[in-house]
Amino acid sequence: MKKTNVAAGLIGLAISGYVLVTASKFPENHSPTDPGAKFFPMIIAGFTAVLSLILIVASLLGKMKEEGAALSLTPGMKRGFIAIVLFLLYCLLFNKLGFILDTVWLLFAGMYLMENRRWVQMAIVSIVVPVIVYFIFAKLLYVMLPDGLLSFMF
Amino acid sequence: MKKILALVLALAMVLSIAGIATAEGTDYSKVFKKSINIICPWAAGGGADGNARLFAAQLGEKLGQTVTVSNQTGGSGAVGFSAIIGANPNGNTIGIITAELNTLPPQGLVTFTWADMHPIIEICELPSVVAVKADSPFNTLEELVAYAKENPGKLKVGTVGTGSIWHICAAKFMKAAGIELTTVPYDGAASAAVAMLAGEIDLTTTELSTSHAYVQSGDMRILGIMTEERLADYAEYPTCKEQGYDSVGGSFQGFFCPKGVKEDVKAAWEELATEVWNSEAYQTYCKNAGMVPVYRNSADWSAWLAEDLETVGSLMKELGLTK
Amino acid sequence: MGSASLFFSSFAGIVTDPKCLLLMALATAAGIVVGALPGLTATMGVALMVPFTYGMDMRYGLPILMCIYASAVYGGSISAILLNTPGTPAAAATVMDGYPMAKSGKAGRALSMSVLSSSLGGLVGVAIMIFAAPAMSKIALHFTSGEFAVVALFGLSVIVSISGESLLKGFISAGIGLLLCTIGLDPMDGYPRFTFGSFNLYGGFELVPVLIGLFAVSECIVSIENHSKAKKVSNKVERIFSSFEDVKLCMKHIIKSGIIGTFIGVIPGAGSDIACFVAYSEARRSSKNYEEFGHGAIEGVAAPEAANNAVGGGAMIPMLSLGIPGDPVTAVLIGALMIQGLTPGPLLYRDHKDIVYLIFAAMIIANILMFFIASCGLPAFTKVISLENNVLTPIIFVLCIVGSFALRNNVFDIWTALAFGIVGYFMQKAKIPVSPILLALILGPMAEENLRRMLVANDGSFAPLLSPICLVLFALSGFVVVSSLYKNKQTRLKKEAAAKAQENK
Repeated sequence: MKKTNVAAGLIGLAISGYVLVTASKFPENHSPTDPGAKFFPMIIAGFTAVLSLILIVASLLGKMKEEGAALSLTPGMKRGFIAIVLFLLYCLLFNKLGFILDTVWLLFAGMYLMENRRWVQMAIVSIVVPVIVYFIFAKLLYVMLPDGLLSFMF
Repeated sequence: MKKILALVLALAMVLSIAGIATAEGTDYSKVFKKSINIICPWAAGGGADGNARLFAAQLGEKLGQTVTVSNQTGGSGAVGFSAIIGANPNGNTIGIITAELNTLPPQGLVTFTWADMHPIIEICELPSVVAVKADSPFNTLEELVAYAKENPGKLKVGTVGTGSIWHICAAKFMKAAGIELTTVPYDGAASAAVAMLAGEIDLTTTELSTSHAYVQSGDMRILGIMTEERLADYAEYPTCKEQGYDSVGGSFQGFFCPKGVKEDVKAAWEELATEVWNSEAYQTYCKNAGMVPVYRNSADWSAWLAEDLETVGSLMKELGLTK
Repeated sequence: MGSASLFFSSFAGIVTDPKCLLLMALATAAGIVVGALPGLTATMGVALMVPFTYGMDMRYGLPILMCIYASAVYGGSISAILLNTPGTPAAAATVMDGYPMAKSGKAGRALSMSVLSSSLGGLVGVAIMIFAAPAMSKIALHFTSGEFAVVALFGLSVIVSISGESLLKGFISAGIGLLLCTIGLDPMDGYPRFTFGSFNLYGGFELVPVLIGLFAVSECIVSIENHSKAKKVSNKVERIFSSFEDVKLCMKHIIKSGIIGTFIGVIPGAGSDIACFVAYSEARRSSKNYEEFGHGAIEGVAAPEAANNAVGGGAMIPMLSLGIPGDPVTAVLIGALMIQGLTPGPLLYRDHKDIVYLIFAAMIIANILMFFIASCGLPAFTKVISLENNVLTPIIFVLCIVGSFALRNNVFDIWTALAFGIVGYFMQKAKIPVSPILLALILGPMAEENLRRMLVANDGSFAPLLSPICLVLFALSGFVVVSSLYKNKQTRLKKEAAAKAQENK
């Protein structure tokens, strides 16, 4: 759909614009021969802005052969958004709940979201996987996965 | 009444120390009952990490506990430093720090300083050396300084990172010699060394170990080492000070723990770390890695760090690096 | 002892020691798993293993590390092919043709070819390292900042080849990537750019979480979205070793990519993550089936896999002779050697020739061992993937998070992975290619830092850019761009001609 290309172009334009404005305020370097902190970001931002503009114009004129995917709210995309929310929640609770507990509910919720209804399988996977991963990474390889609420156990 | 109180207190102190001291030496297993973690703000395989791991191995033997090293890198050490500051003060977490602890605050890159945690001991130093290529026209510091005086800004000195300890060392040297050099930052001592050999820069003020290896292979010449006196193991390198340029500098490493740790645990750590420092294993490792084992106990080191922070701060102001 | 006899005795020393071989085999198997898990990289695998080798004799420790290095780099291709997720950054180019092959049921062919190319590529790297090390180490000494900047430019020119259908979108993607890589402390004057007050960003975004996010997490979201529509394609492995036709087709790519990978490895700082793209681009340019690239061309799997394993041999050259790491893994190896009292650098060849030859012998055996162990493991890998998506996808997501976290025990990195996962998902929707961002993130800092450093070290003059090495690299970049554009055009014309032929039927 045209809309996706135009949206992408607008985002590109917005990012470039932000960079151009912010970078122009970067201080010059003391070294007279160094173009300074602002040089690179501003040039790239300018370049990207121009390309984004071309993308927008070309899409509106119907000249882009490469179309983006449709942006309609299919049940699939709804699932995608729910997945993103679940992932966000997972990261927020990572330290508080600890790795094992946080992962248990996420695996269960994720499988449920993907239309898995085999309760026994879901229960086993949700509990066994985090425990195994925890023991390999935290105990064998000394990666500091957070214990969270389960810290009394370790 | 007071006398009795004093006696009781003294007795209590003696008993408590006796409680953790046995005939052979201090029995730390009463103080450290859980596994220990050493936070290292630098990546695995580096100098600080190597020291941390050696200490971990030695501590593990002495305590009969698992001692792990967790590398929490980023922010030129800031991530690791703040992890140590904010770690659980139960005494089971300590961290190894490097000179960046004093170079980051003056630049406004972090809001904490060394004083936000508790120094245990200093373990080593990495003195800076002024090195040139083997076929460089400069045979002594004097010749270098003379040329630099006539041609301000013409000579290029390679350092590691702007605002880093090696940049500070270059600045100290420039100030002591009254010359102006153009500083060119690289991302590692080895890169700076290779760049000098390739002819991009004229001299470097990075760590001893890198330059020393190249001197042994015949590719470089060390004109001066930035220490107070000549080092026993590197007696052939004249100090900058003895040649008339009073600049002493380099990186350093040591252990810290969170501020909230109990006093007796802090004392135990100081004792324990000192024992490991004195061990042959550590001394050999340190020297083999091209570092210089240096010891400062908690009190001495605190004083030294405070002074160093001020010196670095004012140097940075002159360099225009402070925010 | 003459060098040849010393070498053979090191070789024999390993081969006749069953304990050593067993340890190496275990290390190879572990390395493959580490490489295959999206989130664990070869660098991490070696770094995690190094502490275990401290107490070991170097005769066992070094071969173990070599095995992990080689097999982890190969392992990344397994998840690249089967899950559209590179297990390590070195396999980022392998997804482009590996995954389409898996989708059409040819995963077995892709996996077999990957094993073969990885081993052969690795051997090419070792061979060049053994015979040409002294000569090549001299080359490294001619690389100043100017040369590095042009190397980065050359790497970026490869973007033209991997942008798929739309060059415009590829360039926008690269542009965003280049902007992203300016986040962090300015390399020359330490000024914090776009760090929003968080010192977690002082070094910019960590590459591995970004990679995991863009490729793996986004793929998880896509897989959740497409759930009921996806048809599970049967990927039974009929044969373990590649067919003769496949080998004949790919052999010249393997050799060429091996050489490319070795040379890129020699350049300090440039590693397998760049080599895989350069080799891919070159394979596409020189192949007769160029229009198939991106849609399941087996050469598109062979080339990057050969190159990324060859980097190992190349990266050892500056490490052993100058003490500078040729790539991130050799940086860790330097530390491992130093703890054992061996300082890599000009003195290593002089004082510890036996260690040098041990490394050579170990690398050869590691690559051969990897070929056999990996080939035997092939049926097992495809079995794992036959798990239902609705169980596999959530597990993969969790592994992504763990992998991102494991790098530096920092929660910030899991947010990075998630953020880029969301970005990657929407980029897929807009059909903007994701590989250019990756290349830009790797090469951008190299380009900017070196260009500015060159100016400072040369008083503002651009003259160093006219050195012989730079001119050659400029010419190569130009050549790559022009021939890629030409091939793009040819592909488009062929497609239109085929479409027209369909209409006229």
